[in-house]
Amino acid sequence: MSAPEVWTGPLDQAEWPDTLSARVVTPGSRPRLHGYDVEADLACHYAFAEMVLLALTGELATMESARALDVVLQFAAPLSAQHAPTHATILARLCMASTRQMQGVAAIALAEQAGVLVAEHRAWIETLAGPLADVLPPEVRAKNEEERESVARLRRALRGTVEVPALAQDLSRAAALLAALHACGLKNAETMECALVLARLPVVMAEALATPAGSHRQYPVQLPPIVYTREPQ
Amino acid sequence: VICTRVAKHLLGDNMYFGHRALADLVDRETSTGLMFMAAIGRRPTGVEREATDAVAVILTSADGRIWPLKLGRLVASYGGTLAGWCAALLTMEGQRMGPWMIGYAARELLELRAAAGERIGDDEAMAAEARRFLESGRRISGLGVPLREQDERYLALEAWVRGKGRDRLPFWRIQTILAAQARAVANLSPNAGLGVAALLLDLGHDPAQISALVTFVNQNVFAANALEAAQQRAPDMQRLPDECVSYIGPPPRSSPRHTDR
Repeated sequence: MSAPEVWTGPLDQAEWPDTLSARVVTPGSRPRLHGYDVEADLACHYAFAEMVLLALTGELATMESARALDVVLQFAAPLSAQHAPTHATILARLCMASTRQMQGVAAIALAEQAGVLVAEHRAWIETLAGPLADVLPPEVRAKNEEERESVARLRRALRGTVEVPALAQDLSRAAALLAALHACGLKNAETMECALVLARLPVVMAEALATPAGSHRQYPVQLPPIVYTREPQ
Repeated sequence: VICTRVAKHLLGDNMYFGHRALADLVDRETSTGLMFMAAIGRRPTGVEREATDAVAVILTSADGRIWPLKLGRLVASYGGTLAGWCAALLTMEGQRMGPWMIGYAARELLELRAAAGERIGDDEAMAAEARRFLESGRRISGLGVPLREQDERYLALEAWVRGKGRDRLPFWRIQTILAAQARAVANLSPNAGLGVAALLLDLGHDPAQISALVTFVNQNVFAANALEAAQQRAPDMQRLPDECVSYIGPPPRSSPRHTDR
């Protein structure tokens, strides 16, 4: 009987670490988050928003920051069926997708949406790190009265939490939410994207789960209209 | 109104890029051709189909330890083939790794050709331009081969292109010159992405089409790993043993609220 053939290649010959490095959560049955005992400390004394800020920034936030994050996440959360992440997740439900599959769809679409929003505001996010200019760039200015009213409601809801000097300006709703996230301690684009997805996932899932599974014929397939434009060759 | 060139469902047939799938394409088009149509929007010529097939085979590097394939296997380890497949693919739409990157390599070659201008037929002038390109210090997609001196896929493609007599076409020449200068100036070898980009540019495709086409026909590597991992549902993929993870974050600490009580 011949010996089994041994296959080796560059991946076998190179040196690799023996372990996977973890930098935030300790492995095992007594998890610590950035050093804090989750079960005996954080869960007993801190709200979920405070844990989120700790996870994303590495440090415990003030109660004011956490309360402010709570407000901003609630302002960011509602995403009606008209928006692609919710619409796509409703379609997943109509396709009889499982909950895990629907969550995958929702998470991908929400991440795409948040990524684009943050990319479009990259210059604004950089501006938030320094003194604010007197004149706002057009892309972060309120487009209509509805936006102004929403930003005014955000300003009121944030009273007694953190100072968000940018909210004194005539900001669009999106720019105001990003400014508020920045004031909560989420200073960079990556952590802002995470917060937006976190806020919206349960709401998107709720809308999809409220849709009868498999109800294809109740779905408006012509919205928006899609027209085939190429003639047969 | 959203316009689509892709398809329309008809009573009794399905239009696909201007062709009736059942009446026109059955027995006349291959799965490679259908993928080509998805990326380019028309049926491939014989040469394009042959080249696309060669690219798909040459890029079949499917070792499940390769980073994006491994992440697909991790996600698929709970039993969802398509979840793993999608997860691996999600990471590909960039310019650093995987088939999508080949469109970025094509952009490098187009930039180099534009910089050479009228001197495109002059090998010495092209080499000087390639050196300037390399000396700019930026990372150039299509150059660099990890873990080995040469990319065996690049060599296989080089042999295929030579065998088909396509090695004197403009972009293949430009990539040959860039590759030679990269070896000399920066000690970098070309990877398969550079060769594939040149081959597909010489066939008239643009970088966006190249990213899409190569990724579409490279699906076998993602699909095979996701399917196998989903079938295996390996516990060690779902959760590494504790001793396989080294924690290097902040040391244990107590919060002020915990300390106060």
